[in-house]
Amino acid sequence: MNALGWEQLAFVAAATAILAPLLGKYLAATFRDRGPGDRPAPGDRIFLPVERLVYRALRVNPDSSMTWKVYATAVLVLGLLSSLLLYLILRLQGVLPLNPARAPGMSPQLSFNTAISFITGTNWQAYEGETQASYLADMAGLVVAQFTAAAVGLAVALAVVRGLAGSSRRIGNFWADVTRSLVRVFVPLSVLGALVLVSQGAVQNFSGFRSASTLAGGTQQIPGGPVASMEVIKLLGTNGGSMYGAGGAHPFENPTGFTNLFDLLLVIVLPFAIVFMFGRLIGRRRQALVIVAVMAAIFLAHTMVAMQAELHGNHLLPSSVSQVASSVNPGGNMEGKEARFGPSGSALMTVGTMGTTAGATDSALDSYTPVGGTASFVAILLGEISPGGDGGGLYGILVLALLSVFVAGLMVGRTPEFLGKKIRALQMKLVVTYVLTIPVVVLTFGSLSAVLHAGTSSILNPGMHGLTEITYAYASVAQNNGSAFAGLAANTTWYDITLGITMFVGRFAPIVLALAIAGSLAGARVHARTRATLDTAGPTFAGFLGGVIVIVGGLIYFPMLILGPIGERIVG
Amino acid sequence: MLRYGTIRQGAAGIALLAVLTLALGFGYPLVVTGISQLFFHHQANGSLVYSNGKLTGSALLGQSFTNAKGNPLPQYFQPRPSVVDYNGAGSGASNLGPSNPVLLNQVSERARAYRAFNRLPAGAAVPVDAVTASGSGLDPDISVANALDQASRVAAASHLPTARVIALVYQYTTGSQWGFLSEPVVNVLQINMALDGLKGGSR
Repeated sequence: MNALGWEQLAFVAAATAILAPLLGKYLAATFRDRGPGDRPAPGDRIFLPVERLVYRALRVNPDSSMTWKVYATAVLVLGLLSSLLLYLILRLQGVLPLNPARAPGMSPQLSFNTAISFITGTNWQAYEGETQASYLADMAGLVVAQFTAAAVGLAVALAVVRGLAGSSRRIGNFWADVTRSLVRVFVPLSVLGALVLVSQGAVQNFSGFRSASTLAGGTQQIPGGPVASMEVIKLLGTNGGSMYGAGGAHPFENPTGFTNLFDLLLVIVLPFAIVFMFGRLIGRRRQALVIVAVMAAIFLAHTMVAMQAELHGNHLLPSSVSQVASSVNPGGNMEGKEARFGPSGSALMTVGTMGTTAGATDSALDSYTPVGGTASFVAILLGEISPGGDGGGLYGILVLALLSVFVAGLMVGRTPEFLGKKIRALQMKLVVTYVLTIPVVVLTFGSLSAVLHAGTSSILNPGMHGLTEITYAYASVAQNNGSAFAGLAANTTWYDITLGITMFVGRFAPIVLALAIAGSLAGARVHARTRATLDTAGPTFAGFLGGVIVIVGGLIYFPMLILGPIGERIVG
Repeated sequence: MLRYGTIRQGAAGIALLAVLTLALGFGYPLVVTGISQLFFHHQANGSLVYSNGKLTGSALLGQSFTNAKGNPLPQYFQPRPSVVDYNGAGSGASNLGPSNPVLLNQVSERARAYRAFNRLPAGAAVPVDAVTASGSGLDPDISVANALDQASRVAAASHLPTARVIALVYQYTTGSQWGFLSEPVVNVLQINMALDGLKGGSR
């Protein structure tokens, strides 16, 4: 890494270290359970009237707490209903207003794929942003889905925390959690963030394409659209889907070096803040620090490896192509990257978001060096916990923490416990199902695609790189990341349908299982700490948890990585 | 059989979607657009650039500087290779993998053409951004090294002293934002408009 890369990374680390604990404090004050005599939550005077309006429209009582089964049902019902609504909007966009590019209605299979993609927060985009989606579909369809997916993630995390740490058998009201998340977190932060982006040059208008007469005497179509308002929730909601095909590489979305790192911060600060919130809600802030440390270590590992690899460049290019970075030449592997970001800034932003469910990119992953691409791939395969999606990062790593105390308990011969609650056979069955669901789906569909003509005919790049394009697609959508080795032609019946199924399972199976684990522990007896209790809030456990994450991910996926990017590096 | 509880959840879900579609699907983007148009009018509309009252392009989007046959015009600085040919109605990258022979041949061919066009000696080093396609296909910038390599060809074709064109490159170099947030680059549309201004003045 060069000086520029170190400085950018230090800036991101410092900003996160300052902002995440502050935001976590706000979140904890907002979502803490309150009795009649407690202090009001911050901003109640503004937010409470809005929330009451919503509750009246929904005809729900926000104080009626749900069992985990009712909570999970509500998540699934909302998921199905919003998929249906989004499917209809995408099918019908051709006859609906606000369609300056005259995008026709999407085909049934593409609508199916896109609807599930945005409902699950995956934001895999098998369509071309500029020409195949209307402004109405973007605003009223996709952006609403992005807000909903983000709020559902945070709501589920809140419910899981209540189950793991609370004394009640009930784990909260889903509709109230979603409403509060939107009104008090996602909407206010989105308005502020969008204005910051616009001030730097991100566009926000409804003027459609403008025709310019270029200096050389040709014409150029200048695109428009409500770009910044979608961009901010794409990032803040760890979604990842843009109005434009090039996403975060497009100068109208990501115009400057500042927006590039601001985009990254929009993605990673909130998932870290949610962990700090967890520490405050359970009254064990050291427990949160342990989790943050593990997340940060994995984040730094995959991000720095990618930054170094991309700066080092592509050794297969002719030696007369100058890839050495200097004050006048960004150097490095510049295929698929923007000059203003250079190799370090591109890898920092793109691979930095890969440990979250955003998978937002400012450069073309398919053209990354094998090492840089592997770093991105590994971040996804470790289960998106560095720092993960909004809410998903927390419940994801808590499940892995349960697995870790179980393994540690086996080593020393004690009944494992977490936060004072005993972990028994029922919980471990659910944990193992959670950990195995996604790999089973990814490896099954990945293998089928590698042998069926319907799968292999979509590959752009030959050889081992082609296998990576396929396996990356399934891993990315299963983890609801949505980034792509985009050479793969994914808008085919086979990929639209199988990737759609993968996204749905990858989103809702973990949610239901996490809620089931939390529900099974809700109201369980809390045991007093003794000298023999395994300490889950110290450096030993941090190292152990990190080890379990790497070993579980590694054992499952190592053969796939060997045949893909690692093989490409060794052979190439 | 749907249970009563599930039906009630469904009703709440439908009501929530109606509320969110109105408030977040329409209200939110309209509010953001209103404030943006009021306070950041220039940026929100795409940082548009006009010459003689006619829309020439955007300061943030690259455009091609080729003649009707698609050959690069020697009197202008040339932008980076673009997969979408600087068509603003599309955007995107080549997605060619680092070991793909298509990419490796493309880069060699572009390096050869770059040297010939800019009259550099055979085998001379070529800045990497000049021979690789950008991420958006609309990259507005080139590296300073790339601009300097093009300076003498631009100067010869537009009948300006080379030293004058090199000075222009440094004048139009956007330094790194805050000193470390971005790479120093040259905006191709802006420097070419400045070139046109110089030529207009000397005529």
